This record gives sequence, C-alpha cells and structure tokens, in this order.
Amino acid sequence: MTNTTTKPPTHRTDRERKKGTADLLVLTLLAEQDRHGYELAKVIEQRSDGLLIFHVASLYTLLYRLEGRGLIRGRWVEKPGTRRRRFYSLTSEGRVSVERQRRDWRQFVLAVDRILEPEPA
Amino acid sequence: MSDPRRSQPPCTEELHPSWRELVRSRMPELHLPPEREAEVVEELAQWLADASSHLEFHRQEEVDAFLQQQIPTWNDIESSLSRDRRPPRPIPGLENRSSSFTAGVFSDLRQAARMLAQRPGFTAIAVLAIGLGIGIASSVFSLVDYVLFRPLPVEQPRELVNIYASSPGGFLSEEPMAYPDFVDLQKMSRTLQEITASAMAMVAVEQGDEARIEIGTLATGNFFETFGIKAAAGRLLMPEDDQMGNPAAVAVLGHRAWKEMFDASPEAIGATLRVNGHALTIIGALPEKFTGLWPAVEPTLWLPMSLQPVLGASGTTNFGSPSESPLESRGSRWLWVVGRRASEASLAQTQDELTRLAANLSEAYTETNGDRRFVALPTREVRLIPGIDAGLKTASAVVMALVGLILLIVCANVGNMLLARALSRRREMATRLSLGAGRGRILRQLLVEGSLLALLGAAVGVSAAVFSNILLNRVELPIPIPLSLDLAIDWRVLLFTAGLAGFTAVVSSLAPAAETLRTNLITSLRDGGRISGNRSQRWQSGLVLAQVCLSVVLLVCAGLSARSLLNAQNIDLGFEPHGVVTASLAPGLQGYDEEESLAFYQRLQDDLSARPEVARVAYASHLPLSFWVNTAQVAPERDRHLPEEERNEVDMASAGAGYFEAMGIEILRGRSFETRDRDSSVEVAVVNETLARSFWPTGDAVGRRLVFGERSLEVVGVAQNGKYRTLGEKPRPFLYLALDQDEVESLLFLTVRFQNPELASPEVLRQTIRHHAPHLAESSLGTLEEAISPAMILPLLSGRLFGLLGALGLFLAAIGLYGVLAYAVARRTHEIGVRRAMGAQRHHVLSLVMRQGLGLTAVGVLLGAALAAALTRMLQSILYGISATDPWTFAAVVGVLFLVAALACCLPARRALRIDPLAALRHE
Repeated sequence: MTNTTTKPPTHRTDRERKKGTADLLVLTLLAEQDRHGYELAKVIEQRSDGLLIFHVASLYTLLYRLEGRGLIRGRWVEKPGTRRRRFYSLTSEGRVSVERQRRDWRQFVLAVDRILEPEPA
Repeated sequence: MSDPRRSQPPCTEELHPSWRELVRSRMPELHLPPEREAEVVEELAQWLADASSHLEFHRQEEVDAFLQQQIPTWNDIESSLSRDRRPPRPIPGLENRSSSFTAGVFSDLRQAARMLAQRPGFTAIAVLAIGLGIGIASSVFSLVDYVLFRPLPVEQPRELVNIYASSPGGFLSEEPMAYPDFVDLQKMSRTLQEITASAMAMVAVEQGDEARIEIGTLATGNFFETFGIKAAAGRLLMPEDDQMGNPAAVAVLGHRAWKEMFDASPEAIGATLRVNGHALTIIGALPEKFTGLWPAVEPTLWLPMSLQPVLGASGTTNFGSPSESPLESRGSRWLWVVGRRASEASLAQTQDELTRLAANLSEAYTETNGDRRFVALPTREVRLIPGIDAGLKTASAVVMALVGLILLIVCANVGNMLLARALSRRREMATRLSLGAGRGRILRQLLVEGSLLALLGAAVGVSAAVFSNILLNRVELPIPIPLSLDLAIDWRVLLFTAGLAGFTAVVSSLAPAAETLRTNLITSLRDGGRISGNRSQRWQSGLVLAQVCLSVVLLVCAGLSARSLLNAQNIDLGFEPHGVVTASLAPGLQGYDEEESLAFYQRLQDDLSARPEVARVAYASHLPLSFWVNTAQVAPERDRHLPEEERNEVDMASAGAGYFEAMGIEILRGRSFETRDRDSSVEVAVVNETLARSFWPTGDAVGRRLVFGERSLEVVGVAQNGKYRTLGEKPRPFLYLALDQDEVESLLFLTVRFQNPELASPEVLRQTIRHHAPHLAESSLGTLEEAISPAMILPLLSGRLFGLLGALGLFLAAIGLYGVLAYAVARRTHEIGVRRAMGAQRHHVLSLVMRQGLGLTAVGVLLGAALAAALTRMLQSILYGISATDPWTFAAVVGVLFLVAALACCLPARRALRIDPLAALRHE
C-alpha cells in the first residue's frame, strides 16, 4: 500500500475498516438468503445506517474472491417481471466458514471490549 | 456520452445495452473465457444501472465521475478473477517444453483430429486406402498364421518332437514310421517320456440308413494323454482301450462330428456307430479347440490303433508295401509319431538316442531297416510334413510379399497426399519454427497425424479382415476331403495389424517430415508457401519412382499368376474329364469277401452299361491327379537280371477293360485292355509314350516285354502321355496293368462316361449302387472334374488370390500414380503460366510436361522390371506353362502403367493450359 497517499484519507479509512469485516458481512447476509450484488450492497448500507457503503468495484472484488475460494456460488436467476440477475448463495464450505468467522469475531469484540471498558476500581 | 438510461424504455426490466457497452469499453483485458467475461460485464452493468437509477446525468463528465466513483480501479476486480482466467493462448509449437510428453502428444492428437476433420475428403480417401491395404494384409496374414504359425492347442508344446523315418532315395526326406519300429522306440527310448503314433484312415460310417466315407484317425492309447487333451464329454482313448489283439470296440468323436451328428448332446456317449461294418461304442467327444494334428483337416472319429486289423482300415499315407499287415511289417511306413521329451533331455540328446536306436534296428533288420534313420524335429516347427512345409512357406512368403507391396503402394499414396499437404502448410510450419518451435516438436506433430490416419485405417482394415475371414471360412473347396478353415482375428493378427499401422504411419510420414525438417525459414516465409524448389520436386519424383517400381513388381506377379491359371485350365491332361462321373467303392471294408465283391462289381458294370445314356463303364485302381500314387519297379525284358532297386521306379495303375475309352485316353499304337485280358490269358500291359520311349528308344514298344517283380508282361498298347501327380509335372513314365490279372484291390474307382457330357450325373450312379448294395458306402461320388480338382487347387487358389491382389494393386497403383503425377503437374500451373506468358506454344508446354512425367515413369518401370525379374523367380515353382520372365506379361504391365502415367500428365496439364496465363501466374 505504498501508493495510498494519493488517495483521499476517508477512502483509506473506509477500506481498512471494511477489510477485516467485509467477508463476514457478505457471508452472514448470504447465510440469511440468496441475494444479488446490488441487493447485498443496499442491505449493508441500510443496516449500517449508511455507515458502510460498497461501490461496485469493492463489492464484486469481494464476491469474485469468495466465489474463487469456493465459499459462495453465483447463478443466473430469471424471475418474471424482473431482469435476469446473478444470485449468490453459500456453499457448504461457506456455511462452515461463516460460523467460524462469527465465533472469531465475537471473541475478538469481547476481547477488545474488555480492554476498552475501564476496570472497576 | 449521453445518459445510458435515457433511451431505456421505462416499463421494462431489460438492461439497456449502453451500460454493457460502457463497461466493455472501460474494462481492461481480463483474459477470461468469453462466456465468463460476458457474465462479469453483465453484472457490473446491472449494478451501474441500479446504482444510477436515482441519478440524472446531463454531461459526459458526470457519467465519468459516477464511473470513477464506482470503479476507482480495475486492479482488484482483475485480481479477484484470477482463478477464472484462461491460460494464455498457446502458440502452436511454442508450448512450454517442460510440459509432460504425454500431454504434448494429447494436444498433438487433438490438433491432428481437428486437422483431419477439417478435410473430410482427404481423410476419407487416406483412411480407406490404408484400410484396404491393412485389411488385405491382416486377412492374408490370418490365413498364413493359420496355416503356418498357429501352435497346436496342447500342453507344453515346446517339449514335443515329431519323429520321422528317413531313408536315402525315399519319396520324401521325412517319412512316416512303421508300427514295429514305433513299438521298439517306445520300449527303448529314455529321453522321451511318452511316444505316440497316429494315422488318418478313411472309414465307412453308418448312421441310421446312411453310410458315408469319413476321415478317421487311428491313434495309440496314450495319444490324448501325451498331448494333454481333455474330453469335452465322456472320456478319451486310454492305453487300456488299445490292447493289441484285444482292442476295445470304442470310438471318440471329433468335436464337429459330435455337433453335426449328435447336436453336441451328452447322449451321444454310449451310442453305437457302425464303422466299416463293426459296431463301436462312442466313449467321448473332443473339445472344440483340438481338431487334430493337421491344420484344416478335422477327423470325424478317433479309433484305437489296435482296431486296425479288425476294421481293415489302412492309413491314407503309406510309404512302402501296403499289402503286408501294417501292424506287423517294418516295410509298411504309415504312422506319424510324436514324442514328449523328458524335461531334462535336450533335443540334441533325443536325436543322438534316435540315431543310436535306428542303427540298432538296421543291424537287427537289415532287409527292411538297412539304411533307415530316425529324425526328430520340434513339433512346433512342422505344420504338415517338413518336405511339404517348404513349399507352403514359399507360397506364403510370396503372398505376404505381394501384400507387403500393396501396403507399400498404399504408403506411397498416403505419403504423397501428406507430402502435398505438408507443402501447402510450409508457411505454417515455417512460422512455428520461427516462433521457436523445435523441429522435433513439429516432427512429432506430423507423426501423430500420420499415426492417427493409420490408426483409423487399421480400424477399417480390421473390420474388413473380419468380414473377409467370415467369407473365407465359408469357402468350400472342390475337394473330397472336407477342409475346415477356422480363421480368426486373434492377438497375433492384431499385433501384426498394429505393427502394420505403425509402419504405415512412419513410412507415410517420412516424406512430409523430411521435407519439413529441411524447411528453409526465409524462403518459405518469403515464398508464402508456394513451392518451387528443386527439393520438393525431388521428393515427389522419388515417390513417383517408388510407386511405379512397386506397381510393376506387383502387376507382373499378378499378371503371371493370372496367365498361369489360364494355362492350368487349358493344360493337356492326357484324358478328357468332361462327361465322366466317378465313385470309389470299397465293399471289402464292409464285410464283402472277394467273390462277393467281384460279383457286385460285375453286376454294377452290366447294369450301368445297359443304360442308354451311358457310353462306357470301367474300373481302375487309381485315378490320375487324385493324390493316390502307386509305384512299381520295372525294367525292359533285356534288363531282367537287374536287382529290384536298380530298376526304374514308375507310377502305375491297374485298369479294367474299357478304361482308356471311358477316360478318353488315346491309344497311339496297339490296343487297349479288353475283356479277354483275364487271369488265364497272357499277362499284358499298356505303357505311356514316355515309358515306351525310355525303354525302347528305337522301334515299336508293342509286342515287347517288360519285367515287374517276377512277372513278365507283354506290352499290347502305347497310350498318350498325361498328367498323373500334378499339373506342373514333366512327362513321367506310366504303366497300366490289366485289372483282371491283378490282385483284387480293396478300393476301386468306377468311371462312367456318358453319351452326352452335359447330362453326366452322379445321381444315376448313386441309384444304381443303392440298388445293388443298399448299405454300401461310396465316397468321392461326383464328376471326374471334381475328383481331380485337388490338383487344380494350387493354380486355382493362387490364380484367384493373385488375380484379386493384382486387381487391387492395379487400382491402387493407378490412382496413386495418377495422384502423384497429376499433383506434380498441377503444381506447375504457375510455371506453365510463365511459359505461356513468355510466348511458349501450347503443344510445346504439353510435350515438355509429358516428357518429364513419362521420363520419370520410364525410369521407374525400368527399375521395377529389373526388380520384378529378380523376384518372380521365386514364383516359378507355382507357375504353369509360363516363364517367370514372360515378356508379354512384362510388356502388358509396362503398357498399362504408361497409359496411366500419360493420362495423369496430360489431363492436369491441359487444364493448366486452358487457364488464362495471367490467372495461372497468380496461381499459388
């Protein structure tokens, strides 16, 4: 990341914040139901009250990487009255992975919380 | 750029193509398979359409800014798709050299398959040509394999040795053995753990009301044990069945007989058959794989040797004096002996022992065994009899050589087609070479292409061979002994075919490969694939030469054989077989005594003679050209003092009154036999011209006397020469004795000449014989032409085979020669255009092209003729009445090839001349 200095600082913060958690977010949402890319971005934006916003390049980079790792699978679905879209769903590997990541994340948050909370005197 | 949504119809969910185009135009090369790339474009475009649905763009900059915000960089997307990326398109011939060899060959195979599929016409012709060549070769090989190589289906064949008796001056160098000699060997040999003997014999078999003469085999009790044969049903002969003087009345059925007579039912075991008038119990049947020791002859019955005196059957082969009891006489040599070596004994040790034993016997029995030796030969090296095998091997070698020639011609044809294609692919090859492909790599590609063609051809060929074998198995040869061919495509034939395919692949790829290896990059690229070099012409000239040369050899062989067949059919036999019907009768075999036999013969002759359609009826002990040979030691009266062995050995037969007339043998001087030549009258003989001339070179033979044993015979007539043993024989001396003055023969041939040859019918004989002896078995009932057909088999078969091979060879040679020459001329279209443009006259150009093409053909013809003259000497032994270097045949072949060559030069040249010179110049 040597050339990130040319990029706006907010962008960089966004990137880093999202980096560790984006996989978990997408996998968790797909564990609920199959979704297409734009829907995923919208849900993330809504649930985070606009705090987490993906643009197309970052989301699809993520999706293609997860698909490449075999955690999710995309397939084209045509529903009456809507255009043909590529819906993503979890593979069985993805299901295992999301469980593990959730557990790790909770432990991590717990650990961080413990440090942030002032120790009772 | 305008807002991509503007033109989007409001009420549809279809994505407007503009977003796709936008994405496509901005997206870098992702190296994805096309369908994956389309998916990515679609997804991104959809997102952009969705994300911009609430935005309004008025200027191109706004669209650009939106895009920049959504896709600040393509790098991440690009890297995230790395797994979907297709490998970079390989430059043929430039693949990673470290990639495994097999993978390379597979890719070559794929490429070759594509190449062949692209040119279905080329592929079909090449595959058919190869298929034809390989099919013929495989089929002929399976025949040769069957006759020469297929091992006996017995246990441990390597331990088996055939043992022959051999005497200097014998009819064959390896002859059968006398029974007493065999018994002595059995007793005394230490190096052989088992010795067994067998002999084929004709026997009369009665089943129900029908009696037939069948082939039986007399075998010693240990025969099947020695070979390790197990019964398919019941049991086989055992030593207990074969007690001399006390034989068991049993028989074993051959597999085919078991199937045909009893439907292969187990109920056959225990059934009774009447054989030569004696009831025998069937104790078992042979397995299908064992049909006896001789290829193509499957005996019906296998009988204990000790039954021989009971059945009165004697072997079909008998060298020596057949009149003595075959089981007691050392002079009667009729047994084929096979031994199994003890595991520790070598062949040399066995031979040493046999030599010693033979010396002992010749001391003990000087009269019969004086100079007799025993010879051991490994069983797997013998097919029929060593002396006959040699001829068989020569014939097989000649046929295989012809087949090889056909295959070579096919290779030249296909090689030429591949060369033509390689030349037209010069630019491709040069490009690949210049991009760094190794020559070895390109060579492999060519070889793989050739192999694929050969493989397809081999598949076609094997199918053709299977088909032709089915046909060959069904062919019924016009001979009295039922031959059963059992040709099959077994692993040996497949191996041979695979070898042929490999050979074809390599040979037909040679020319194109050599051409490619010597490709000069610069000239090839510069010339753009147009071929003008001397080198490629040299290759083509070489192919034309090879083609012409091989074709001459093949066509000469075929032509000679075809003419030999015609000659054989027109050969002067010395008798007229057309219109004669014969049957062999052996009433003695079925219990008639001498008196009854004579009475029967007389009644039959009288009855037949009385029929209006019959011209002449007569008996004889032997028929010419029937493979039954009887010889006698004779001398003219003046040499009466000569001992027996120094007299002339001549073929002889006993003939009854009317025989010469019935057979159509002309009496040149004196008279033929008449009814007055009975026991009581003076003993008489008729000699043929050759015998008359050799005994009495000056003066007339009629009235002279000759001595035969102790008998003195008066020559009453001289008959014309004829063919007696084989069609190809030189005139040989022949002696006829009067049948009525000779001992009664156990088997006589009845010959009946019909008034109208076209009405000659075996049926008349059959009915008359039935009338006088309802249960008598008659064999070889048929026309005389059928009876002598065995002698015609070799010329007949070789004529048909060579005719077929010749026709095929001519066809292949003609299209091959035409193809090679026509292609060579067509490639000169450019040159012809130049010549025309420079003002050359049409006929000048035409004569130039013709001169060159025919010149090349002439060289090939000369080479081929020289080669053919050298090779056809091998054929001489199977040619009838024609020299192996017959000038007419050579001339005809040369003429045909020149005609083809002239056409092949002329037609494409004329086509080239019709083209406008300017167009020809542009022609590449």
